[in-house]
Amino acid sequence: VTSTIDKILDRLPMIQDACDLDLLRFFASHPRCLITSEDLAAYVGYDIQQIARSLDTLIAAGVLSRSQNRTHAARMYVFNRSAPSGGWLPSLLQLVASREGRAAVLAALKIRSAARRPDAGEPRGRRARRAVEVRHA
Amino acid sequence: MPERDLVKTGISGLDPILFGGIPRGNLIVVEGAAGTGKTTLGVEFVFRGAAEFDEPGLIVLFEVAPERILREAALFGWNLQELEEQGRIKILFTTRRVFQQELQQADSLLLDEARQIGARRLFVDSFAPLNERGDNGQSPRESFHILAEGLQRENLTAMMALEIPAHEETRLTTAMPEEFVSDTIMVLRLEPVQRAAVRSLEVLKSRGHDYQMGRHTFRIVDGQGVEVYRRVQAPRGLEREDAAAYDTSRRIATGIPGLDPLLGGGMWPGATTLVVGVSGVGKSVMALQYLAEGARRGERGLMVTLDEPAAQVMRNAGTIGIDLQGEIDRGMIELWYDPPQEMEIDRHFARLETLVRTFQPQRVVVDSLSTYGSSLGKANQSFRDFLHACVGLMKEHQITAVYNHENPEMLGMTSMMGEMTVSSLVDTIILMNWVETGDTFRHGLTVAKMRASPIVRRTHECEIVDGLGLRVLPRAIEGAVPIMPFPAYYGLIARAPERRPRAAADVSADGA
Repeated sequence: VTSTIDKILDRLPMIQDACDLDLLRFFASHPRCLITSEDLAAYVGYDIQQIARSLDTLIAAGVLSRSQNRTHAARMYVFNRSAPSGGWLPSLLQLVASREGRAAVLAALKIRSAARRPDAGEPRGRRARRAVEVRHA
Repeated sequence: MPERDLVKTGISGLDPILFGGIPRGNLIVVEGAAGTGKTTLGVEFVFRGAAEFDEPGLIVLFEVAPERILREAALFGWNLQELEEQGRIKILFTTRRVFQQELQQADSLLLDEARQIGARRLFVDSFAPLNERGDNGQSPRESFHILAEGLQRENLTAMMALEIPAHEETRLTTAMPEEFVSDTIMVLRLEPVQRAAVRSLEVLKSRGHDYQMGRHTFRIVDGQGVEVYRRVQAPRGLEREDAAAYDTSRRIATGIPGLDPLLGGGMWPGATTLVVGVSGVGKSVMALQYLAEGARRGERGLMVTLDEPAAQVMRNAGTIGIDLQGEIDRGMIELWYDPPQEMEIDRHFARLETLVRTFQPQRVVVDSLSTYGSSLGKANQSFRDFLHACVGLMKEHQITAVYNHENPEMLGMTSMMGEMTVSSLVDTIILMNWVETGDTFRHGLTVAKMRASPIVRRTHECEIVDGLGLRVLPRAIEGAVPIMPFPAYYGLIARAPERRPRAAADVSADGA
């Protein structure tokens, strides 16, 4: 299982922490969503800054699109189930659909995060760019 | 209202109650407590619109994840995902606050989503009654009105689920501004019946057109969705009443040897006959013979059995020489067993209507009416309304129907139907009971009533012969008292006549 999780996470570099993962799960089950960032933060259970960062990452990776109308408090988010991922996105969603699966992926993300710590703090912007690179690869 | 101005819900049985549908553009509020079926009804409204009427629709959810709605819809055979991929349905998740804000904005993102697919229908799941002032200090009624205006701008026929308390008393004391502002109101209930529960749907209001009032039963059926069964008591239309005229050129043979002469040659076509008697007296046997006779003459027959399962009825038929299975296979007889436990009478009647329409029987037997009585409870009016509906249905289709009714009295009969006084609804009444002579119970049969035909109310003996069935014997009951003029009796007013001693009777008869 661990090797499968690693393989999936290697192919989906935009998923780097628990917030990314849980936001992805939320949009997978709510694929068309008209919502404010505050409500989203409350639903998913992370602070609003984390949510904002994860949203940017998922949008940059093409997994999510967001309406641009800034006069509205709420934004329309549309989950792109068929985003180019080589089939890894559905595999990840299937895996984390169970409680055990989610726990295993979160554990793997934690290990990866710890491993990244020496060269610590890869900026989210860079991460997002990397995700775009993968998307267009 | 012209049909084009009505939105058909497409929900089984609901459009007839709405006399064709809901006026286009109406704002429909579907009220109900938790578990009453609001979401299923609303999702089906949008699904049927997109799948059957080329009317795309938007489903707006506040609490349930769209993924779950897709999964539950699949259980009913509704492929929402496919319709979504085809751009005929959109399922959108939002919050109540955002929804209300959006409907107040000209460039609403939400309504833009609806416009993109050309939505004609909208379902919103769900609102709690607005009982607090809005963000702008609006009253609940104003808030809801603003919301309704937003929807009407788009000419959407919108259905909104409204959560209400389970207890009717609480509901009635709660101010419901939504009820005043909306155009159509449907209330869904879970009503306790004995220790069970029955779902009911009531249309309380529908601006711009008429509808069938009252509480109609409905079910949520796997693989199908919502099925509404019109309240059995609701009038069906004048054609049923108009069809009651008899064809006097022919008679319907009963198939009971010796009975037709007592009925002036047989029953009238389309007549309603009640066969009353204690359990075991031969009512069901008579019914089977009646159907078998019809099959022999090429007339289709339907037997509605409530007391005995189909296999048992077939066995019984076999013992009197009737090959019921053979007739069923030939398509001449249909046997429908509906267990009486927790019977939903509206649903039962809807099924009966469907059978009558599709199988087109000329003869129908219901065995027995008394079982309906126990299912309908003690309210005599309900039973009477039900029988009236049955009689109307049969007459509309010119079906000659026989209803068996169990009378609890073993010897004699002080009333025809006990507490269920509906004998005035029927055209013919045949009484069957036991006559005790010496140490033997013998079958007695009396034609007590027959509309539009002179009859002799004389009791005849009959018998059930193994392998042959019931027959009325040509001879009078052994030891029967010769008929004497009234002066030969006393106690006539008390309906307990006794013969006067011969000498006294002779004196009276002489006028002394």
